[in-house]
Amino acid sequence: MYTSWKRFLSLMLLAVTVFCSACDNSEFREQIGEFQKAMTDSRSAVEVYYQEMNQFEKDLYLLRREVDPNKGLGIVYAYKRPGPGPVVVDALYVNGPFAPASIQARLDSLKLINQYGSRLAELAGSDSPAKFSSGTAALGENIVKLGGTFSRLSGGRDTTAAEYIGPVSRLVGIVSALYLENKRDKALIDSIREATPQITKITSRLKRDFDEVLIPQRRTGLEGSISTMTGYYEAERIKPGSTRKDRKAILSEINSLTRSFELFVASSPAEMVQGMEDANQALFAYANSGRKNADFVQLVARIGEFRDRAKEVSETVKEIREIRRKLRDEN
Amino acid sequence: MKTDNKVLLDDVERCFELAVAPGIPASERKKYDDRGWELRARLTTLLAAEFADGTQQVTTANAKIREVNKLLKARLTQLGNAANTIQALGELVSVIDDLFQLPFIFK
Repeated sequence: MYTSWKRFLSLMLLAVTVFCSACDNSEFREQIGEFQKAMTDSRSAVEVYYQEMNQFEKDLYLLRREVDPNKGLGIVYAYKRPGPGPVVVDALYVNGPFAPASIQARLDSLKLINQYGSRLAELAGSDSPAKFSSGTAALGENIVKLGGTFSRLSGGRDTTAAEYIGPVSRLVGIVSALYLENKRDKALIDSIREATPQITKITSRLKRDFDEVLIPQRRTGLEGSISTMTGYYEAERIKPGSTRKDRKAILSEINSLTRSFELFVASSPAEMVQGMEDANQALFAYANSGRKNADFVQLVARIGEFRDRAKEVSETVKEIREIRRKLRDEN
Repeated sequence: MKTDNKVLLDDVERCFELAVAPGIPASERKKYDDRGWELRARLTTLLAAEFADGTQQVTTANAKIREVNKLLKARLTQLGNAANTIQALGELVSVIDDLFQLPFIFK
């Protein structure tokens, strides 16, 4: 009961503070700054899953060889030649099994969204933000050519690349323009209106990547590791000469794997992408509303939630990485 | 057309669940672990693969994916027959491997 009242009073206080200052542009600018910080946190958490896709598969493959001397080792050099990638079989993949170019294109999309947030914050917060002579100078060659990259990937085995082409190309144009001109206030609002639908399309696609590929990959990989290590323990514990120390070492590994699984399930990385979208929509609603007080309250609340969530997931991802690093080092 | 990847994913997860389930003999658990990894490797390709509409082999594979799912669920509740379930898993791996002989695109 006390907690509910405390929460109610805090919300009231927040609402009063926000109502008093909503008309002030500095508050809006401050919120854009918060939006940008949360985007950076979430980007780093989401990125990890893409960056580790292939290494995760290598670790799984090697783990199964470590515990079973009857399993042979086979290596596939994936994506060495142009054209569609290989049918995935049980092998150690070099540059695979997931296409490095496809992974990099997703990472660049996240970078692009982050650059959008950074530039908004820069334009909203600084008196004289830097101007650039070209989009390439501001965004970097990879980002400027990102639409073309997705277009090329869509001709290969990348099932979803085509859906990125339109929104990414348009967002590159919008963000480039933000760098070429020192847009302020009204022009800034116009850019938010124009960019939001493109970001929505990109975040929706990223979320589907998580739901359809990254989450099944991670979840089954972790479940499989727990299963294999459990089988290994069962075989080792009954061997003559098995010591408490030996058993403890295996059980400790199983404990780390189950902890990783729990953290992974609890962190819901797809929700993080959804959080990026929620904050994006809140910013859009405020820009679109004639900057009413009620919308500003919404914006502050949504960005606050997003930041808290981004921080939580970012810490969880760090913990999962640390467990994986320890497991690799110990073996 | 695509394979029923949602149910195939569930098949993989049920295999790994059976591979650690208390009350199931170690030799049987090992088979679920091996089959789980085999199916997982195939699922990784099938997540992105698309076959021509009306391909009979895909329809057959989907029926097998669902049949195996029922058997795994029954085995988890200790009601299913181990031999039938393990045999069906082996057949499913083979049915999927046959699919990879067909032309398909990554779309």
